[in-house]
Parts: sequence; C-alpha cells; structure tokens
Amino acid sequence: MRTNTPTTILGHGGIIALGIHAVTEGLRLDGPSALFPMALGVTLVGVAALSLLLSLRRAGGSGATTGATGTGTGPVDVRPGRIQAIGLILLAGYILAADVVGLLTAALAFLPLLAWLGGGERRVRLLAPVTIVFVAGLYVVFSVLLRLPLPRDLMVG
Amino acid sequence: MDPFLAALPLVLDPVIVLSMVAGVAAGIVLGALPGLTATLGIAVLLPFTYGMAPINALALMAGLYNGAMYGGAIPAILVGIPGTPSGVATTFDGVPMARTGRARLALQVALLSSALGSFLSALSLILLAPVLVRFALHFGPAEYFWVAVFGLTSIAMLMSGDPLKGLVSAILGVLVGLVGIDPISGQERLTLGLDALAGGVNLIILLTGLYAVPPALDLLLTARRRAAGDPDAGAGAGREVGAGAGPGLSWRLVSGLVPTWLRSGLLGIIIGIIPGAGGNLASFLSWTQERRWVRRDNRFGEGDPRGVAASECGNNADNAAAMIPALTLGVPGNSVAAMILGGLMIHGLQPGPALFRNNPEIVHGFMWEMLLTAPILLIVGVLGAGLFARAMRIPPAVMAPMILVVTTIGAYATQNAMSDVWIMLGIGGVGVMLTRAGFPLAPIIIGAILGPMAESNARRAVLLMTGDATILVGSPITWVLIAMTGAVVLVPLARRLRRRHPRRETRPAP
Repeated sequence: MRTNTPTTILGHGGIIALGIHAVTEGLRLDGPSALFPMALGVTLVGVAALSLLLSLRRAGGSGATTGATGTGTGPVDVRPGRIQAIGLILLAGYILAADVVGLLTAALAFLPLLAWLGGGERRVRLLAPVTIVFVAGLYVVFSVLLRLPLPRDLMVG
Repeated sequence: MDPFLAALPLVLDPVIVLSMVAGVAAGIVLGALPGLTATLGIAVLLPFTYGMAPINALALMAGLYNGAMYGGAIPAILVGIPGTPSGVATTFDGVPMARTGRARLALQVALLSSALGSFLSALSLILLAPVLVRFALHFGPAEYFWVAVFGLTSIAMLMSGDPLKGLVSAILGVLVGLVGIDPISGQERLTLGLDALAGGVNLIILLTGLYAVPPALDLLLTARRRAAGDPDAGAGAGREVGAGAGPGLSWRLVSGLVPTWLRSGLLGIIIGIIPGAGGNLASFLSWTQERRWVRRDNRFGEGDPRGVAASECGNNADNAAAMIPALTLGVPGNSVAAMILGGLMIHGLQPGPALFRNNPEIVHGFMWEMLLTAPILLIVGVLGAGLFARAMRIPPAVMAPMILVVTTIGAYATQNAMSDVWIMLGIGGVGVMLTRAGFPLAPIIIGAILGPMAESNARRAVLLMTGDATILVGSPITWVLIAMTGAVVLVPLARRLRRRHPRRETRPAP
C-alpha cells in the first residue's frame, strides 16, 4: 500500500509511544521481569525512530504525497483513510448494537450499511435478500448446527 | 506399529475426510476472491475450531491452506488479477495463455501443479520433520532462545521489503506476547491497566484482529474504487475469459512438465523451510529459475505452460514445508504456518519434540492431512472448476461486511466475552494503521509466538546456571544459530550494497 507523510509520522509516532510505555513499564517492574520489556522498548524506540527518518528522507527525495486526502494516483477521488475509518466506526457500532440486540439482529443493519459504504448502493435491490439469506445462514450454522452460545438476540432469542 | 502408519485410520474417519474436503473447497473459493488469502481464511475459521478435536481442526486448516494457494491462480489466469499475492507469478504466463484461447489448459496446469507441489511438500514434511525433531532433542533452553531469535530475525528481514519495518513489527509482536501476568514472577506487564488483558492477548483474537479486519476494510476500499470507476481496482483490469475456453491437458504436455515440477517443487520446499521466505518468494523464484533453466523453446512470459506450472508448483510446495520448523522447533515458516501453530497452541499442544512424543497421533495425523489434501485438491478442483471461477464475481462490497460479521461472531465465540470482540476491533484498527504506514503484519504474529518462547528460555537458561548469562553462548549449537542469525542480517545488507551497482538484466519479467 502507498503511504503518505502524515500516515508515516502517525504510525511511527504511535510505535515510539508504545516503546516508551514499555520502557516505563520496565522501570516499574522488579527483577528479571523488567529485562525484556525494557530492552525491547529501548530497541523499538531506536529502530522506529531510524525507520521514520529514512522514510521521511525517501518521501522527500521522491516527492511523495504530504496530504492525507485522496489516493493521489489518478482521477478517482477515493480517500482510503476515510473509508477505513468509517468502516471501523461502523464495526464499533455493530459491536455496540450486538451487545444490546444480538449479533444476528445487528447484522441485518450492519451488512447493508457497510456494503453501501463500499459503493453497493447500485445493487440496493440485491442487498436486502442477500442480507436476509446471509443472516439466516449464520443462524443455521452457528446456532443450530454448531450450537454456539451467542449473546441473547432480539430476533431469534 | 509405526506412529505415522498408526495415525492413518484416524484421518480416514468420514468426519475428518469431510473436513478436509470442506477445507479445500472453502480454500479454493477464498483464494479465488482477490484480497482474501489462506491466512484470512484460517483467521476467520480459527475461533470456530476451538471446540473441535485438534485433528479435525487441523484437517480443515490443511485443506484450506492447500486449497487457497491454488484458488489464487483462478482469477490470476482468467482476469489477470491474482487472488493471492503468491498468484502474481502465475499471471506472467497464465494471462497470455487465456488470451490466446488456452484458459482451460492454463487452469488444468495450475491445478495439477498445485496438487503436485502440495504432495511433494507433504512428503518433505513426513521425511524431514522426524529427522529435525531428533536433532532438536539436543536443544536446551539456550538453544531454543537462539532458535526463537533466529526465527524472529529472519522473518523480520525476509517478510518485508523494508527490514527496519519488519524488525519494528517483530518487536511489537514480542511485546504483545509479553502482555499479561509474568508466569515466573507473577507480576502484571503491559496490560494498560485493563483487566481483560491480565490473562494476556488471546492468540486467536490477535490473529483475527490483524488478519481479518484490515483485509476486509481493504476489500471495502477496492469496492469503493471500483464503484468510482478506478481501473486499478480491477474494474475492467482484465478481459474475463471463460474457464472452459480452449483445449485441455495432453499426456505429452504432462510428461514435458515433469522436470519443471521437480525443480520448482524442490525450490518451494527449500524456501518453505526458511522462516519468513513464504509462498510469494517461492512462486517468483520458481518462475525465474525455470525461465533461466529452460533453454529450448523458451516462451516464458508469452503463455508458456511451464511458467504456470513452475509458479503454482513452487508456491504450493512451500505449504507443508513451512510446517517443518513450526512443528519441530516452534518457528513457523510463514504466516499461515504461524496460524496453524496458533491453532495447535490453543488446544494446549506445544510444538517441539514433546509434541511428537506425547501426541504422535495428532502430529502424524496432520502430516497425513497435508498429504491427502493434495489429491483431494485435484478432485475438488476438477469437479468444481466452473463454480470456483464464478466465486470471484461476488462483489467485494458485500464480501467485506460478511467477513466482519463472521469474524465478530468468531471473536465472541472464543471465550463467550464481548471484551474479546472489542480487543479484536482495537487490534484491527492498529493493524489498519500499521498497514497504511507500510509495516508488515506477519512478523507481529510470529513475534507474539516466538517472543515468550525466547524470554522464558533465556530466563530458564540463566536460572539453571544460577545467574550466569554466558550459558546463552556456551554450546556449538548456539554458535551455529548465532552465525545463522548474523547471516540473515548481513546477507540482505550485502545485497542492498550490490544493488547500488546493478548489473543489466537481459530479459525483464513481464
């Protein structure tokens, strides 16, 4: 996947923060338990910082994108970060809803919503039957055949 | 009775055979869908195998593994979009064959080559694993520490185009492996104050979070791009050719492909055994080596069936071979091997000589399953050829939410806890971010498996010598392992230096 400068900085920054957390955790621990987290934390900070420097140097040299918007590859304006973020938010919404109405009932809304996000609105007539058949299939496989103890479901109990 | 032969009746049980057939069929379908891989298939499947008998779970995984590697060839040949990364080399000759009216022949060559590659690979597993496990009996904690370090280093260096990013991912994985209560001192480590992490990060949740969520969101992105008319997203990337188009295999062609199969099969096995090398490298190297090897009527890149045979045999030949270091030393050869190893570990089975001694029926049963799924692949592939070719038409916009729903149910089913589902979402989000920043995900999984192995063995070794750390470099085996680790770091460095003065290529790959 093509990366851009803000994503590179954010990704590396998160990793460096994690490395620092491992070092501070190592300082809190006693005896040999501290050795691996501390050593790995220090190495992680060092290697991630070096990787960030080299990535930024390469990006500077090749004139890579510095903005967070668009693919920058052609006339089609699809923003990968935004689509993935919305996808993750919808997944979080699905999990929240599943806690209340059950995994299968919540899937009835989640599936067409996410498919719509993926441009599936052109097949809106197809989405409804596909969703119903898929959720019914899930019920048969997981509840009836595999007898998995799923959370209480509004639709199937 | 020989434990290998004793395991045969076990895998001939109708339920196990059915599991292998189902795994192969599901694997082919998954492989045929661009963006879905064997790793994703096993990641989605793994939580549901929790309640199965280990031999049954392994039958599904063996089938899925061999099936998905072949499945990637179907869209690679018919539309020029490889279903899996290891199918890229198959497009070099597969697409020209399909476009010149030989699609059926290309698919048949790919299927036969994949089945043969899987068969040769399973034979290597059966023959080499017991030898390596006998050698592993000489290993103590210090040797296992260096085995883990070697595995981690080679995976970090070889699995990514950027070794530094590979190393970062591997260290991240080791840290994830350390989360939870330290089994020796009883102290909580790296739990971020969350009770749900006190028991550590469940391997299944880590696998599904990293290998199901980011690819599903990638599929969504592909769908969005297709809907927006982006030609790079596969909407019209290639002219689809009917799976039944053109002539089929002849005995003359089959006999002509035998040397190609033997050479690429051997190469795939060797690459499979090296931790981190993996199927992508096996198919590419098999294709390029075969092109160099063949002197007469060399039409590689223009629709030569030997090109399809080399690529497909090579990438399937690394499948079972990657399980040799995984089963004997606990070092997985690639990400799918890491998944299968994870599948063993969730059933309480630890790899190494003890696995062969205490659970011979499982380890030898798995070898049989890897072997038997090769002919099953051939049968299922022939019977379902048309159906599998149609599978790639499922719109990614619909496939993405389906994967996420099944993954969520699987994450919940692991321990019947919604907290696991939230952890999976968090890991998935981190996986998306890391992928976007160019970090490979496979070293994280392998780091999470090998990290605790490295730490516990290093501490045990030092404890055995009442605090003397020189035990870690005290035997000839450790010296060899240190030298191998050094070579893994230095060889790519030397290659990079050589790349600054490149030699002229006579015939570039298409």
